[in-house]
Amino acid sequence: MSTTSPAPTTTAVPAFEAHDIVKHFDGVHALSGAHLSVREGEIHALLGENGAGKSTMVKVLTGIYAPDGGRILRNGEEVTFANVRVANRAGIVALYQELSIIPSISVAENIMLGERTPSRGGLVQWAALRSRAKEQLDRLNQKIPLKMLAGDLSPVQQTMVAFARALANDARVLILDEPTASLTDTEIKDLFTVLRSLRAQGVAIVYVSHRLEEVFELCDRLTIMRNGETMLTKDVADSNIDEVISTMVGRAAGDLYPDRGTATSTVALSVTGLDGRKVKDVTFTAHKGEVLGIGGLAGSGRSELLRILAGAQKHTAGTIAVGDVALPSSPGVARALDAGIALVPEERRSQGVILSASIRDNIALANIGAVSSAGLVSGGRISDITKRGMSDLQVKARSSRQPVGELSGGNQQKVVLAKMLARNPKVLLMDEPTRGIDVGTKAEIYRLIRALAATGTTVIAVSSELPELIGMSDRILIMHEGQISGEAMSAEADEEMLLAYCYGKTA
Amino acid sequence: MRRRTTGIAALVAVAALALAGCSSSGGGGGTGDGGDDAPFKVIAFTSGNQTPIGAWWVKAVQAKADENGWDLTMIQGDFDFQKMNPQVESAIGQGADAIFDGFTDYASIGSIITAAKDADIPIFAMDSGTEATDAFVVNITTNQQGLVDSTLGALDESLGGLEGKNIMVIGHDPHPGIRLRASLAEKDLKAAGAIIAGGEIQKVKSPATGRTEALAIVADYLTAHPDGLDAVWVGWDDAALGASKAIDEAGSDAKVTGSDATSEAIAAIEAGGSFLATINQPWPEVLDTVTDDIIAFQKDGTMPAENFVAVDTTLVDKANAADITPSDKL
Amino acid sequence: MTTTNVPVQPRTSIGKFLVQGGTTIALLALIVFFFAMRPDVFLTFTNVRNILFQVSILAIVAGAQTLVMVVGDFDLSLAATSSLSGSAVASLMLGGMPMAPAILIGLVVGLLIGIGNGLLVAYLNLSAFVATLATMTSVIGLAYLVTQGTTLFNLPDGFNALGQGRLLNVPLPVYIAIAIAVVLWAVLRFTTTGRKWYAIGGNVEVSRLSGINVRRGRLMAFAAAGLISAVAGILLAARLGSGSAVQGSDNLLFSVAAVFLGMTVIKSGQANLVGTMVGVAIIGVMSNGLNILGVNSYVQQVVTGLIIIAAVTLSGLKTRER
Repeated sequence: MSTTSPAPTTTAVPAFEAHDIVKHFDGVHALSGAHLSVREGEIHALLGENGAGKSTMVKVLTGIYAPDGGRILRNGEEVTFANVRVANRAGIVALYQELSIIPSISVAENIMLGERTPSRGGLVQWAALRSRAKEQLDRLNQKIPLKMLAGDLSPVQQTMVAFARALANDARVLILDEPTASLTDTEIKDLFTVLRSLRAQGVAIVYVSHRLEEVFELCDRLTIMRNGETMLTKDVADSNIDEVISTMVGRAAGDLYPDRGTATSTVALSVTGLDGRKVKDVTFTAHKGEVLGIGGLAGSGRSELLRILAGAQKHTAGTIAVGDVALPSSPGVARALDAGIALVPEERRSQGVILSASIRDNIALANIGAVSSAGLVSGGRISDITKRGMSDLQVKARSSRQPVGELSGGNQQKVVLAKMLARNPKVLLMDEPTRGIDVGTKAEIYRLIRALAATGTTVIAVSSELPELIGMSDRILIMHEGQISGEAMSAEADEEMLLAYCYGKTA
Repeated sequence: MRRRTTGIAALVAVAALALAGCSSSGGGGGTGDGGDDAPFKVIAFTSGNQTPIGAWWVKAVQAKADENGWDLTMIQGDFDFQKMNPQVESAIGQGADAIFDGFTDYASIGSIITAAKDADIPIFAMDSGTEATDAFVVNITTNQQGLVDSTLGALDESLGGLEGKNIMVIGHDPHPGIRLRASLAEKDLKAAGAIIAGGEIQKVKSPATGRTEALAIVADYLTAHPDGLDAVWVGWDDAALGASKAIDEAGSDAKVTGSDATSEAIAAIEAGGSFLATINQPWPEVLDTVTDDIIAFQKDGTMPAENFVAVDTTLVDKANAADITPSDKL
Repeated sequence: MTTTNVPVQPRTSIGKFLVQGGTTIALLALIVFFFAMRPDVFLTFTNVRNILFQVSILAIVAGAQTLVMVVGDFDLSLAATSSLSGSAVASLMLGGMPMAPAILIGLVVGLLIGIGNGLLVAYLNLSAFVATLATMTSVIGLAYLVTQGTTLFNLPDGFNALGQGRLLNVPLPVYIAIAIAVVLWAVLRFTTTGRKWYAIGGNVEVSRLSGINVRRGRLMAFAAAGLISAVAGILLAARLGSGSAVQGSDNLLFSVAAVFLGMTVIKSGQANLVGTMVGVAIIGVMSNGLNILGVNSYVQQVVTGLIIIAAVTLSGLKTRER
């Protein structure tokens, strides 16, 4: 695989080094002693599971976050980046897909933006502007019409324009975060050609990606992070996919998870041939009292699948049935709820609760039918269901009138659960049920999930953390590019096998 | 955080300025120097304080109060009934002997009328409705029919008869006085055999832009019908000045009449352009009469004999323009 | 190795073209319609001159609004600013000040209000809505104070000539509006300042990282808009021969409408000067044409609202496509 890569140009001093980087948020360590060392003229892959600390690392390297400890060296000299512009001036540029171009102005202006725009007496020197912009595009071998509005370009062309601007600003270290996420196969080929030519010009490229096959095709060296630490840096030629996956996963266990239950054989939810945005031909069943985990990489369609089941997103083909009752073709959230399907969404703060409203109001809103009669809301009934929900779930709050925004993440999640459970759902869908929740409360949430299953509720939970999937579920489905790429009973599953499914290796 | 605080501080500052502005213009009386132990309490209000006549009325009523030793509460509504009515009602709640309404139609102050009835306080009014109503113990206004008669008379004379003439009528419906006189003018013009230009009363949407609206209406009508306009009858001077400008600019010899006798209109009449005549409404005299009615009530509870009086108006044309005190210079 | 990235051809279809050119087509359709209804009147020199005269002041205010909307904000106080400037000039001249310094002070008033708006929005981070709503309120109050609630008139003939005089039988405000429009177009098109405004309106973060002083850019856009709206207000006073606190207040709504209409003219859906002038023309042609046909002014108001809805819907459709 590595034969397509020319031998790395090794130089004595790395272009860019970061040593012993420490960064914590509210006492939680996001980085604890991370290293990264990048040479001129190499493409360096930065790998790790979700939450391993890759993006925090990128943000520290580009001046978005100030590190709490550690040193950053540029050409052997220690530097500190007060903000992104300082990092940019030092030649370090991170490119994100959406942020990088200005759609409303021309390609040439995008490349020579701001300080670089040639002008005389306040007037833009268009000829000079275009010829300099063209020089940068020539370095990338790109022929993009200079007068075209950047907003009218294809995604890969926009990426190229962002590259050209970085080059115009003398960028020597380019950090790319999932640059191929929205590109087609041919576009990816073009991108790789450009990256190789930049490498030949001595630019150092940090390549953050989940797509291991790309890493092995393109990159010279790789660094793997886990739990905020750097586990490994080595030449790609000396490594292999199995080593990378096992290093990323590590060996982590714990008694975080309650014992599994015994699912019944009664089918609670059956899904056949479901098609929709980001979801392709998905068929599966879930049983009464079962905890079904769904995994997959970001963008694999797992959240979209939950949203379709909950009626929050349309499906174009296929059927959903709760028990024996089939849902209509586009049920909408209200009818899905009536049929017994409830969703606890991923973005808790924006989709799950109203932060400024009290606990009781949040619970009442989701159960407005149950707490009102003849159009009038009954305060007593709200108190009843709120009290029940808060005690069942052990919500820690001053009173039921405390605004949800003042609660901890775990307690907010319990409020979301309480308002959904008040509807007695047959199938409870949870998207990333423990995101942003501390470890202690995580265990509580797992116990709650298990307790719900024991009473006959079917829980379908999406998680991007493989240990969590294995620990909390009875059975696991893995999605890859909208399809189910693998299924395993969690008692028999291991992370390496699931990760292989995640990367599209079908069983 | 700091940035947010400064933002809030700026907001507070702006709000404070706005409030200060309100109170300085909205304050007014309440300090009648009296002399008696319990001064006679009068609540006066107008929504039209931003018009020249309204502004005059506010000052004139304050002068009357000083003169007669009333304890006056003056409430200025800025055409905003949602703001004015509750203010007046809370003043009523604090007790008063009489209420004085200036230029505010009874249709807009239903809640004030109810509150006054409940508190058994009589409302004296001037130009607050075009027909008799129980809401007021007296409402003295001008004779709209007389006003129309004299403006149409001026046009009749200038054009040599109204029969077969193209005459545009420009009105503004939300103002009851203008609405009434515009419809009277339309009816009388039709009866006199004139042709209403455009087939119906042309309506100005906002008094704020009355002049530009009337200007555009007449200018566009004249392009469409270059010789199709003999006169424009306009319900108030500000819009009449716009109509007059359009006629002068188009080189037409059509004539315009207005109403209100603003100094600008009087100057235009004296200049001898298309502006033919306007109407002077005798507001100082009307104010004197209403004040006398209030004083009579103050003395021994005498109520006015009639609850609706329409006084005659004066036609202002080139002949007498120099002698008239403009309504904005009262 | 050469990669050939053929530019993605915009998929053109007749339907898309209609959406794209919808606003311009609407203008042409209005003109054809009114011409067909009154061929003897509508396209005569006199009437075209009428239309141009009637929209000249709106065109200037809308040009000012375009600048602010290019940087992604908007300004509710423009019409009030123009009234205050016009009233101030009228009041100063009635107080005996010669025309030139009075006009200069009027322009400075507009500039200062614009700078005030810019400071509130760009440096104190108030939302443009809140900041300009607040300044609008205060500025209207100031205009009432300046005019003492009345209409100021008897302005010098030399001043009135600015708004009413003619050159080659065409009123001066038409030339002034065209001149300002051309200057603004050139500023937006050719100067670094104009291009920075577009960059800021397109993506604040990228602009900032590219060394553009975003705050100063927004401040300058508001300041320029204040100054230009002062020009409009002074011209309106000269055109009417009078100054009042409320005259020209309808220009606020119409200026925003014109810019929105203009945003539908170009493909990227940005505020742009040419489009704004198309929007101004639609508003002017519609009002004049409906007047000529003798349509009730209340109906005209309804139609104006519907046209704005249509414009915003059209630009919304396009944004979704992209």
